[in-house]
Amino acid sequence: MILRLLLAEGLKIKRTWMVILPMLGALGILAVLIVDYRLRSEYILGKYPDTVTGFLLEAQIILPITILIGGSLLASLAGSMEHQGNAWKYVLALPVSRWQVYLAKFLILFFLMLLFSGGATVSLACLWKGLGLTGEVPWKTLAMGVTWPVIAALPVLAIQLTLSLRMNNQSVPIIVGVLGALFAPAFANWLPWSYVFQVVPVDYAMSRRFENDPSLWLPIALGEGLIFFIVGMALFQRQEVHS
Amino acid sequence: MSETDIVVQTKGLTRCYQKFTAVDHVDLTIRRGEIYGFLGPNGAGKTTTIRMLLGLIRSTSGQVKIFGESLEVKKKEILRRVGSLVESPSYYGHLTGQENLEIARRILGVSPSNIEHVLERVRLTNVADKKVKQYSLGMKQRLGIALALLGNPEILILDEPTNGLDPGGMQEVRSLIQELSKEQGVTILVSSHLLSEIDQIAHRVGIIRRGKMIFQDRMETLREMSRPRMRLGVNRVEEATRYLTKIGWSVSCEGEHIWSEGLTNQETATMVETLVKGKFSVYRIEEVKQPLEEIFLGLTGKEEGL
Ligand SMILES: Nc1ncnc2c1ncn2[C@@H]1O[C@H](COP(=O)(O)OP(=O)(O)O)[C@@H](O)[C@H]1O
Ligand SMILES: [Mg+2]
Repeated sequence: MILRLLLAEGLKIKRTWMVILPMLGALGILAVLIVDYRLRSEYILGKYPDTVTGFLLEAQIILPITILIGGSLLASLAGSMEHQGNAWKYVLALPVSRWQVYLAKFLILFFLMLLFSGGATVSLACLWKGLGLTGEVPWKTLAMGVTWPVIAALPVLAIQLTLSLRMNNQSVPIIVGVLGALFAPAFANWLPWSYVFQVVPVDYAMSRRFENDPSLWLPIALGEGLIFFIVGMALFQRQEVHS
Repeated sequence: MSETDIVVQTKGLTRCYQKFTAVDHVDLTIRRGEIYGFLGPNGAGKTTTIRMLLGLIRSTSGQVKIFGESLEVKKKEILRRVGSLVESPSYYGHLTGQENLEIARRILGVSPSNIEHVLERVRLTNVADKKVKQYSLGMKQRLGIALALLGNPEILILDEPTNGLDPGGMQEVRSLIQELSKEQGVTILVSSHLLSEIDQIAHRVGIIRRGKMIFQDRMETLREMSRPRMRLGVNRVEEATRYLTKIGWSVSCEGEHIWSEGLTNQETATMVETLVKGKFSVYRIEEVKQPLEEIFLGLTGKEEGL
């Protein structure tokens, strides 16, 4: 059943921004980092203990915020699709379990985020080559560098999807997503929006306010993600369909 | 009529919104194979009832049984055998009609040929590859009916299916409903705020007003309520009415006329004779047939407007 729902979900995203958005995000990261390295190449190369560390930490200026805001947009697009054509009353009168409908939406959302990870990894690899950095392209480290923050974003994705599924008007979920991404990390490192910033796979305690430690924050994000996912599923299960 | 012939049954079905009771202890009974007309003015509670039948909203109290099973317990199994179109049509605007049906088909797990079949049924084959957001309201409504038919349902629930259709389109939907009923024995619940919509096709009707079911019976029974009445024009009308009443006639005086119900030809002749003997002048005798619409309005209250 869940496979059938995923196939249906896959067809729904045809001709939408949802497919293009992850690729745009990956290209956006590439563009920002090109500018960054052009302007301050000397400074960057001198600042970090090694090239890979420097590379991933420089990516921090754009990667986490892209994941959070892009993820919120994707969740909104996925969650509002049925609101637009008043389709919930049809979909939820089909012989499907609601929790499966919710699971399928979440899986599609996560799949698109992983698509972004893939795209961003390739982006970073291209940049590595383009800059003529020494040594082989560190594929594994780069992939972890973009995938760990995506996993760390699971709690936020669950929150956003739940909000977008519940609300007809998508401005509230979008505002929550953007404000969370911009302000929560500065406020406290234990907020769901902060984890994305704290899972860079480098042996380097980041200075300033961030507490970088993937081995601590990844399990927390996974656990919390699961909790929010279950809460969201339970809320969706009970949701009344009026429109 | 045996128990198994009843495919939809609600007992005391009630739904409140805060203090307002939108559906109030509705006992609805639909039998296998019939076309059930669910009538009521706008805001009477038709859609709210239908949402509860489909498990889209919870009831405040009461039960829903479909195919003899509780909806709460056997929801998925029941919905597998039910097709629905509730109020405004449901669709994904960025996809074509064909793709919209394909999404539902994947979830229902029915054969791809069903899509062609239902498209033909609602005459959308030639626009199947157009995006639905470019469809007219009537086309969207027909797509909604196609979606409802896709899983070969045994029960079809259509909430105001002719809304937004032109008269030709309305007639088409009515014919389609009759075909499905006759040829495939589908049980159909069709709601409307217009008696004329239901009048021609329904075998039984339920009339709901302000959340309460005020009439539920065969269409024939509703028609019988529109039996003709006799109207007599006489002089000294009030005195004449008293005169007739005193000797046992069941008549009433309304305005300038005496009214009587269900008179045979012989009774009419006798009544006129009696009046003439009593020195009243009989000016005219007319048979007045009360239109069905009047009865419906009388039941539901004119002030609620249609
Ligand atoms: N979500 C809701 N919240 C509050 N009142 C509602 C809601 N849905 C319907 N109602 C009210 O319930 C009544 C019945 O509505 P509805 O079932 O849509 O009527 P109908 O379909 O017969 O036109 C109306 O007075 C409507 O305003
Ligand atoms: Mg309605």
